[in-house]
Parts: sequence; C-alpha cells; structure tokens
Amino acid sequence: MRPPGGGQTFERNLGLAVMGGVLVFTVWPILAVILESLRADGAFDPGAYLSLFTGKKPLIANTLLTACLTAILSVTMGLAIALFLTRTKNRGRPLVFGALLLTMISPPFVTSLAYIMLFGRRGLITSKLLGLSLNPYGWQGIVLMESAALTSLAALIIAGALRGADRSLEHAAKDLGASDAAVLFQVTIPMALPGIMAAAMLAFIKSLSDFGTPMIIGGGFSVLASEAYMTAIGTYDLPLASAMNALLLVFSVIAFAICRKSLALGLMSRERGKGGLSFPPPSPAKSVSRVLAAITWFFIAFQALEYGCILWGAFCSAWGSDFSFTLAHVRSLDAYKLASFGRSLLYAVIAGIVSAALGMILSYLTARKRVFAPRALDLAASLPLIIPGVFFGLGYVLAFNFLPRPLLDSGALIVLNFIFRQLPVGLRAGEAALSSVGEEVERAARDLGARQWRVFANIVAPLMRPAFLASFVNAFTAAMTAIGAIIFLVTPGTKLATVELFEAIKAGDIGLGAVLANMIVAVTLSVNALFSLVILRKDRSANHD
Amino acid sequence: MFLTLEKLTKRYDGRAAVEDVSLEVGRGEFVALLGPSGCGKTTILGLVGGHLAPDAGAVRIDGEDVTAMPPHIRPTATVFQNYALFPHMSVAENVAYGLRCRGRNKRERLAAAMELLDLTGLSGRGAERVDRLSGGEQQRVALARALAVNPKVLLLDEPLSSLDAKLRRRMRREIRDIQARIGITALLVTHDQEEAMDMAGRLAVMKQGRIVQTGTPRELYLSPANAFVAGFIGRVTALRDPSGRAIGVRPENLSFTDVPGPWPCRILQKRFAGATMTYEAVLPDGALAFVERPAEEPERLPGQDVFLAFDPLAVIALD
Repeated sequence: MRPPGGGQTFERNLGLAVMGGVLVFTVWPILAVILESLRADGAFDPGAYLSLFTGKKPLIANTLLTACLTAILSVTMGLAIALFLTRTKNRGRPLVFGALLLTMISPPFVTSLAYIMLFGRRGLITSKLLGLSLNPYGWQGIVLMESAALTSLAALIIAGALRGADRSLEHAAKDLGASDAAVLFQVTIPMALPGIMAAAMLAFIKSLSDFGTPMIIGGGFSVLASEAYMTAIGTYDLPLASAMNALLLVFSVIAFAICRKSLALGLMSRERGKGGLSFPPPSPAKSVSRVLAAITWFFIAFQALEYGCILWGAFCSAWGSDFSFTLAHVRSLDAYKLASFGRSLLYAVIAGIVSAALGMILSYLTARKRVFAPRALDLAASLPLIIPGVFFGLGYVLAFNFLPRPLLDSGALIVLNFIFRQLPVGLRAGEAALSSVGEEVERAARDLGARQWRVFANIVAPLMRPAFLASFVNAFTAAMTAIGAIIFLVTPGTKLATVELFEAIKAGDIGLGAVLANMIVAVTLSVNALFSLVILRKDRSANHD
Repeated sequence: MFLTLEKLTKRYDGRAAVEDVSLEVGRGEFVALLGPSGCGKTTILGLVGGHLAPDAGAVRIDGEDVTAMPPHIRPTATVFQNYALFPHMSVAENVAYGLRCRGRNKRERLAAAMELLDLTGLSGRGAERVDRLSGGEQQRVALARALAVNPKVLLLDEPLSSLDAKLRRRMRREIRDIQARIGITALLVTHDQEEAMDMAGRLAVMKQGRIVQTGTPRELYLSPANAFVAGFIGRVTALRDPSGRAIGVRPENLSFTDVPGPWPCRILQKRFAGATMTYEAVLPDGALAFVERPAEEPERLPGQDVFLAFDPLAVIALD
C-alpha cells in the first residue's frame, strides 16, 4: 500500500544502500570463492576439482561421515533432552535449561580442550583414572566432541518445536486408546519433526564447517574444513582451498534443500500451542521417562565435567602431572594478549550494534515491501545461514585483497564479516517482530498526523526494540566466539581472543588456553544474562503490571 | 457537498477494485458503504483516508481537493478494523498521539485525552495498557484516538466486526450517539446490513467495485434498484409474474393460501420469532420463499402444500 505524497526518497535511498551492502559484503565474497576455485593463472581451469575428486576421495568420505554421525548423535541426544524438558515432570528443568544455554554460547575449542584434558595422553580419565595410554586422536573423538557442542542447540530447537506443538493432539491420541509409547512415537515425535529436521540440518552444516576440532583432536584424520584451512595457510593453494570450500557449500545446500520446509516451520514455531486444553501434556511411561532423565543428566554431567576442567585448567600448574593451584597462567596474559581480548570486545560490540540495526532496517524494508525485489534481497541476505564460516572468511580475503594495506589492517573487514554473517538472524528477528504488529498500526499513526520519520521513531522502533536487543546479543556472542570466518582475516595487528586461544591450544599451552576460554565464557555469559534479564523484565512488565 | 468522491478508480495489477465511484456526503451526515467482502468498500476508505492513491478521480473535503494529500496532513481519521492501537503506549498516550504529532504540549494533550475518554465512557482508564482492555474498550480507545485530532471526516472500517453480537448492538448505538452529538461527518464501511441500517442515515450499496444504489434505508428497502440490493437489504422472495417478469416480494407482504394460484410451494420450516412466525417454503423450481406472518395467525406446518399470495401493490420490480 503506497500512500500519496512524498517522503519516500529517503526510504528508497536507504533501500539501495542496504541492497548494495548485501551485494558487496554477502554475495560478492561467496562468488569470489566459487570463481577462485575455477581458476588457475587467470584462466578457467577446473583442475582444483579434478584433484579433489581423484586424489582426495577419502577426505570427502571423512567429511560426510563425521557430519552425518554428528548430526545423528546430537539430534538423538537433543531429542531425548527436549522430551525430558517438555514432556516429563521434574524439578531439574531450570538447571538443565541453564546448562543448555551455557553450552550454546561456548567459544570454539572448549570441547576440544576439555577432550584433551579428559581423554588425552595425560588425560584425567584415560591416564589418571584408568591408567590407560591410548591414542585418543581420531574420528571418534571428533564426532563425540562436535556432538557434545551441538546437542544443546539441537535440544533447544526441538524443545521449541515440542512446546509449540498443539498438545491437545496428544490428549486426543490417549483418548482414542493409544498407549504411552504410541503417543510418543506416533504423535509427539512426528509433531516435533520440523524441529528435528532443522536441528539435524544445522548440526550437519556446523559439523561440516568445523575445522578446529578435527585439527586439534583429529590426529591423522582430516576433513575438508581442516584441510581447506591447512591448504590456504600452509601451501597457499587458494584455488584448491576454494574448491574444498565450494564442495562444503554444495553439501550445505543439499542439506538445506532437503530440510528447507522443516527449517521454516521448526525455527518459526513459537512457544505455547494454539490454546484450547490447558492441562499439561501427558507424560510418557515411567520407564521411558527414566531413560530420558538418564540421558539428560549424563549430558549435563559431561558438560559440567567439561567446563569444570576448563576452569580448573586455568589455575592448574601443569595438567596431567602437577595439579597444584597456580596463578601463573593468568599472569602469562601479557599486554599483547589482553589487547587481543579488548579488540574482540570492541569488534563484538560494534558488530552487534550494526548487525542488529541493519537487520531491523532490512526486515522493515523487505517485510513492508519498500524496496526493489524484497524476496530476492531477503534470500541473498540469508545466504550466510548455510555458508560455512571458513568459506565466508576465505571469501572476504579473495573479494577484498585488492584493498590498500592500511584498510586491510584496520580490522574493518573482520567487523563487516561479523555484521553480514549474523545479518540473517537479525533479519528473522525483525520480521517476526513486524509480523506480530501488523502494518495497520503504522497506517494508524500516519492517519493521526505522523510523518514518516515519526512513524519510525514513535511506533516502529519501540516495537522492534526486543528484536534488536536479541539480535545484538546473538551477533555479539557470535563475534566473541567466531574463529573459522576470521582466521584468514586477522593480521598481526588485529588478533582476536579466539585466535589467541587457537594458538595457545596449537602450541600445547593448556593453561593459557583455559584462561582465555574462561574469559570468553565469562564475557559472553554475562552479556547474555544481562540482556535476557532486560528483555524478560520488559516482557514481564508488559504482561503483568 | 462536504465530502465528495468523484469518479474514483483504483486498480490492483490491472484489476479494478473500485471503478468509477462517485458519492456525495453532506456535513454532519453519517453514510455507510455496504457490500459483500471484496466489493471494494475498504479500498474506498483507504482512498478517502489517503492510504491509497487513486488511479483516476478525486476526493474533495470541505471544498478542498485532497487527492494528492498524504494521510498525515489529510483532515480525516480512521477507526481501523482491528483498532490498530499502539501496543507500547497507554490508553491516554494512544488517544493523545495525534496531538503529539501536531506538536501540542503535554498538558494540552492530556486534557484533550481526558475529555475524549469521558466522551467514550473510559473515564479514569487513561493509564492502563491497551492490551489489558476488553474488545469493546479497545474499540472506544480507537474511536477516541480518531476523534482527538478533530478530523473533518471520521472513517470507520468495519469497526464492530470483532465484537460479540450483544456488545456490537450496544456499540452501534454509542458510536451513532457520539457522532450525532459532535456532529461529525462519518463514513462507515460494513458488510452487515443491519449495522448499516442501524447506524447510518444513508447507505451506498456496493457490488464488484461499483456503487449500485444510494439512498436512505427506507428507500432501499421499499424500492431497491435490482435483485442484488433487494436481497442485500432485508430478505426477498424472487418470483415470476404470469407475464414472465421478475418480481420480488418482502416476507411481511407474503401469505399462504389454500386457494390454488400461480405459485405453489411446500413449507419447509417454521420459526417462532415473538411478534411473528417466519416460514421458509420451497417453490417447484427449488427457489426459496420467505414468509413472515403475525404470530396470532393460525400456524402452518412443515410439509404442507400451499400457495403463495400477496398484494400486487407490494411487488418490487427486479429487472
């Protein structure tokens, strides 16, 4: 609906600017990787792919094996925990929920670091407890630890789907004579299927793009992501690294195509069902409940052990041989490393604010159709959802390496990478906020005499505030914990905390790694907790006063 | 005329939603646009309010051509179908928002809001959140908010459609009383003929983007321009007279007789409605006849085969 009168020039210019941004900072880097993979010495050459398919078949098999097993394991665990959270009576739910949130926002390598500390050559469990001297490195460890890291995400998505599902269906099934098991397998789980598929897809894609875990605990076992990193950093064969990344993208796109419908349904499902019967859902049989509880508490215990190790490791003289208390690792944080940490914070705050603001603006322009080709723009901006982080980072290197050195060293590219990589999340949040309000409210304001800017300032902006805050927290957290996307972009002058962490672990400095990991956890956790409180309190005052 | 719509046309993707619509509304008059859903009546409201730009034609208010005037300057205010209250503002803030846009200071705004809340029966509710109000109260806030900007024309878009039947009847009366008291010119859009007849002094019946007939409820009921209007305003039984001409008869003008005549029918059902007994009967060609008889007349029973009778003077020509 377009009212007569002016005031649209600003909107049109804003729309063009945002569209330009998406084209330059999302689409172009992706294209740059694909172009690079098909080129050698400036001419078209599919040689990189040929060598990939002839010489590196096991690599592809390894990648798919790891990603599939990880998806299956994390979704199975996640489903059990989600059922425990939503379909059984228990008092530990807030604790479980908190643990899931904590592990959702953990920085990379935390699981790998914990794995080494627990199961490594001098690991707490393998060597100290069991007296074994195993070689812990291999695909089993990768699958186990990637699953441990992704189970929380899967559990939260599936729990959302289970909560959003219409509970009266389960009562209806019981009413019609279905047994507990039949209700669970024929009604409850099928209802959560969109969430399950979405979780599986995300786990699959995240496993595909994880290069840190295989590098650190894979031993001789490598996958495309880690090999692409080594190829780009080690031999500087960018066409081959690009081809590997392009292949990862193909797998991601296939997974996305399979789960596309479910993804929309699964991630959109809101809390609370459609009303009607308000009594709680029927809980599964006692035996099933016990199994669910056992799986959940096993997972929580494992997470507690993991984070306990990291915390302990930060203050432990020499992990595996001398477990006495020390502050040496904390003291080893020199000004240089602290500067990296400060830079991480600064970049994360900037990226969080800009990404969230851009997400709100973009969602407004596309949802209200105030821009040319809104659907295409929405789709283009959403591409990073299925782009592996390493791919996106490499894309930035390839797309922008023509820029002058000082600009490359300024960290601007890193921040832009953060901004556009998290843009899809802000876009979705903004769309959800707008769809719950409806365009008529804006028309009402216009009708009462508000100019376009006033409609935005008085009506649209306040209504989008919660979505903005949530998007900020997401982008901030992602920036604080990102590694794949930025590993190619950091220069000696723009090192970030996660890079320091990566280097410490690579160098075998468990103590320093643990200190850095704890610092990142502490910051992201406090920011998340703070903003959740702000948003929740606002929410509560909106509903109850 | 105070509000004039002049040959308005609005197309969506080449399809005309409103075609060549002209309407004149006098100062202080309450006119209803009545028609089935999708007939283009809400589009007209959007054109008058300035939320849509017409492809052809003009809108004039109080002698001024406002066709190109954007909604925030146009001297109209709309009560939206779902009220479109601002969820993040209190009742008083909602009501005062239009004055805020006009740069009035806070005290002035508050005083005006108070006055309008009194007028709409919401005294003392100004500090409440709008999402805590009932449907009827939200409706009043929406009305107060529209009136607060002192518009020349008040636009009402299906304002009662989300209220329950009883409340709807009460709100009809309230809105009409307020409109009459402040003497504002009002244009109502509705698909409910009872609502339109109850509230508006004059109706414009719409079909497929065009106005088919304009007149007082009485005029439309007694002499509808065609079968569509006759069927939309009240009930009508469509018949053919012995010469083959299409005619219509209102239920209260029909009666049953056992004397054979040109319109045999079989009674399907009867319903007691207090003062009257209403019957539904089926004609040989399957068409339905609606008959309304005084309750004290002897009852006819479903299943009876009878004949329709009526006074030739009460016939409506439907051609």
